[in-house]
Amino acid sequence: MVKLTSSDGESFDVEKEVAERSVLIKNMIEDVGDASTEIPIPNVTANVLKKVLEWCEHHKGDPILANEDDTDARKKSTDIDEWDQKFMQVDQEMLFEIILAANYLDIKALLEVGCKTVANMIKGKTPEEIRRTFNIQNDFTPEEEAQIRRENEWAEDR
Amino acid sequence: MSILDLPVELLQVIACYVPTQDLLSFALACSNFNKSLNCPSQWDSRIRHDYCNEGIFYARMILNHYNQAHQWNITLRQICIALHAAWSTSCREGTWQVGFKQSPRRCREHSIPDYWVQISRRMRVPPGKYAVRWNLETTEECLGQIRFRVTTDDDSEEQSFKEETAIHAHQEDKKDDVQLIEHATATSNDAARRAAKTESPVLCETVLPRALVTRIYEHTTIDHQGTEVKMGYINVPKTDVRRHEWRDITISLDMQGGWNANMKLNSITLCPIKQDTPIDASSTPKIEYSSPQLAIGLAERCQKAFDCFGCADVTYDTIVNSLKIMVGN
Repeated sequence: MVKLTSSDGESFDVEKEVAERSVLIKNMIEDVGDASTEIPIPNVTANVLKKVLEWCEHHKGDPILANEDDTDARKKSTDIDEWDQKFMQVDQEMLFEIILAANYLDIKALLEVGCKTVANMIKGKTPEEIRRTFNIQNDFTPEEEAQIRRENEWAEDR
Repeated sequence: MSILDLPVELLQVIACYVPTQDLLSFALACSNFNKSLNCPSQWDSRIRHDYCNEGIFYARMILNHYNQAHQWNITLRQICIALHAAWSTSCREGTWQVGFKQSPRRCREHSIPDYWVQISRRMRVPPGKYAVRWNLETTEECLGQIRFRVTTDDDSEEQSFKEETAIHAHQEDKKDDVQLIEHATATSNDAARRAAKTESPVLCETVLPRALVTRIYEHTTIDHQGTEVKMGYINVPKTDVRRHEWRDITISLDMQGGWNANMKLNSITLCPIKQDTPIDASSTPKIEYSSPQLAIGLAERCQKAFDCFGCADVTYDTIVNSLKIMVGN
């Protein structure tokens, strides 16, 4: 077992196999040489770490994604496993926290699922609908907006 | 926490999964999203995904040509846009060779000559799923047989491998006996090898001319705009060959039946399904007979794309020559 401590001080005892879904943790365990040593995870809060470990537990038998090149990493954005889709049915704040944590902990497969989920939220929407979805403001000047439209005219002109 | 709190590197990863057709909306949503698209590796990846390694090869060739020969700072993002415009156009404007023969045979009781139209076009396409449609304008009542075929020569295998899916619409003695028979045949004698493959080199799902045959059976006059029939879909899968991923495919259509001078085939279109854009039948182009027409059409589209980048003085001939390589003309 491995003991992980979140940024807000909560400890989690997890199987080594589960914890090593994270390349960061795997390297730390190797560096320390003693799996019983408590490993601090300073950038991830307890509620997010709990969620990440839930994903790691479910996927503990999966092969670890290697350092793929961009070609292989870029797949259809709708291609998300059913369990992962349900797992990602969380509020946006948690979704982005999971993405950040996956990036920090170096869990490529989880990062991929998170980013695909966000891409699916963008797919088929107008700019205004995207802004509404993510509660963001249009910060373009009319000139900038016109320039972007010109540069991407091909996307509409089909 | 908001999406804008994510570092730009993560926005770039998200952008990689946004489909090409949604990039404009993504870019227009806010400046951070737009900035996340200014990442060369992302466009390299997108070109590789959409056009495979050969697409990258062509993109870099064009990039080097313009940036070195003309001292322009054209980016992969712009090349991707140009490739997209070129490929969209190439899929819509076919350069189909049409052979038209009037056989000496005559139909039994009607004593009208048979027609035989054979259209065939060889194209070099990236792997992907494509919708194939044809537009037929006719008042023909006695359609004999339609045979749609997609073949590919796979030179990565030891022996030439061809597969075809043929669809026949037969009209028997009684008009009520219109039958649709569909079957797939392999011209290769290695049927066992084909059966063992999990995915055919070229697959035509048969959504065929049922509507057309029904209309003919009911003596419906097809309007002057013709009728567009979805022939189905073909899937050109990726191969293990790294450097030659584009495939040479031949799409052909044979039609036989009673001769009608008013019959006219307007077009056949091949469009990538991944664009998710319905084809507007009214804008379906007339059939073109010569490849220079295709190159010119592509050049016009590409020039439009380049104009957007302030490269209005791109020489027309250079684009045409580049695109001739790209589309295999």
